Amino acid sequence: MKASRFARNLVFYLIIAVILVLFLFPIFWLGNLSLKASYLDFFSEQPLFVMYKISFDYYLDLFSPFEHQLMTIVTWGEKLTPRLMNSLIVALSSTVISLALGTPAAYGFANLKFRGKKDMLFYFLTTRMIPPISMAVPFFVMWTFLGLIDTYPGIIATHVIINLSFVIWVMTGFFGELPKEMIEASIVDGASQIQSFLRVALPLSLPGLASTAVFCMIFSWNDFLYALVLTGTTTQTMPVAVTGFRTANEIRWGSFTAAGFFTIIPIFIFTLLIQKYIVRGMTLGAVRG
Amino acid sequence: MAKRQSLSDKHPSLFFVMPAFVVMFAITIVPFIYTLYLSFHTWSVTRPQYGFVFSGLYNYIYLFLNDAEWWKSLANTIYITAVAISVETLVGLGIALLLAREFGGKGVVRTLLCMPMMTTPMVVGLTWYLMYQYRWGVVNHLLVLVGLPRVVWLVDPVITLHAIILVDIWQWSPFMILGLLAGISALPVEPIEAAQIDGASSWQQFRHVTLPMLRKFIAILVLLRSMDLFKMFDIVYTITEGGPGTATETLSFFTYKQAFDFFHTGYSSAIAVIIFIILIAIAQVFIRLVRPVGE
Repeated sequence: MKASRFARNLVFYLIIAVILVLFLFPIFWLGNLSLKASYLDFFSEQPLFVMYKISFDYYLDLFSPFEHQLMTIVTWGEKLTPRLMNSLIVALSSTVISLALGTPAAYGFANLKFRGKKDMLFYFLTTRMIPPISMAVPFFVMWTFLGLIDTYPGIIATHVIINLSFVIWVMTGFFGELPKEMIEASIVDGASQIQSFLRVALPLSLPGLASTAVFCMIFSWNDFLYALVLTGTTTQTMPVAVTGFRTANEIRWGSFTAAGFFTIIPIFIFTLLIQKYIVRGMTLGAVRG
Repeated sequence: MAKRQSLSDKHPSLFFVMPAFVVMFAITIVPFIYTLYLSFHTWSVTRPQYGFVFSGLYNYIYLFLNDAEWWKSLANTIYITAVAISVETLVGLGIALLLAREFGGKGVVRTLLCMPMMTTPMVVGLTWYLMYQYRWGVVNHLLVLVGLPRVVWLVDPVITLHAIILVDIWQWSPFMILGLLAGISALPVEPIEAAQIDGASSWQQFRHVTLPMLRKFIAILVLLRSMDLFKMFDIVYTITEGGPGTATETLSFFTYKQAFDFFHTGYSSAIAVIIFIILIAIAQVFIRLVRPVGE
């Protein structure tokens, strides 16, 4: 009896292990490739059985201020430090703008009564579904005329489309879960709506707010299409910079994989921070984990 | 200061909601109306010397009647969406049911499963591009290890299309798993206990009690996935660039080519409008299923 239960548990955990290996292997593999210094190891036909010397040379070369650091040929124009800064600037700005505009709106939707509220809320949810390619076409033309191609405001504006509707929709859910009596009590005590928003609703939803902010960072960080179309050499973000190592003539495998893996390291950290809210965020609050 | 206070007290809704609405209007409705305007013209943003010619519905008529590549990319997108969602739902349901019970390390498993779907799509494409290589790609290496022949992943049109679908299944099955897991844990326990008392087998419990209760969750997750799949771009761009030929061209990639390789600005605006309408239509179905809190 006891033995069979042990065997059943063993089988269960084995199945779980197989599932996890399947879903994590590609990520591990990218990291693995990026640590191979020699092209002979990289192009081995028996890649699982190659013992190789682990080397961080490609990572160092991507961030060192010098050109032609090693045998790798990362020229100064391809260094990752400015791209990393661009990604951070764009992600932080679009997150801050979206939170500043979106949290008060979400408070309004959750606590105030006004005409057309439902339609307006649905309008915001709908904007979340807009395909980036449909917006990239007009934005490219408008920004060309306004001289906003390859500028921070130009790319940040498009990331606000992604993030503002997300903030409003998810934060409306968080504010709606607060006990109504607390808001009402503070209003009765003579607080204005602004005061009850700032002193009651906001502090009580701080975990939700923080997770929403991290989600915004991830969405902005992961965006590829807007950045590909609307940024240039000075505002290029990480995902677009990575594709730069694949040109028509050659693919710089080492730099390509190292830059790619480096792009997703912050995502892992972000994901750990918000893992409690992942399902809720990714389903726009429709499913609460 | 005193004036602002009074505005917010008299019309708090204006004060709280209006700024977000005005900004959102400016960055979504205005560009959309501009796209609509462009779509009635024949024009290229990089070749303005050929003029900005009003052409009425010509772009739309050409798109629907003459452009085989458009129909091909539409068919590809629908096929990718249908196959990917079916497999993801089945895989998600199976694994979610397996993980539904309590066990040690459940939190860790859940966190690790989050990783694929949060990973930058462009990097996912790059990784699979390397893994699909014929001679030194690790996928073929694994196939050889278990005694199967190597597969030419990125050359044959049919295989390549399914290789793209496989990447999406890898990345987004965890979304289904975690979403359904949350759904299962939110279900009331009484109906299942009642079925157990009535002597239902575990398959009958699943088929007649659990599955019907999960229907709404499945619908929400499937709609979210279908909207994402209709926008699919990053993975196609990094793995195949729509190739071989137009075998893996999706709607987004086809539009991208028209707009930013050929710079057919007017024409690509027309396509952008059509894709926009398709997505908004799916979004309306989704909206009917979710209920906002606080009304």
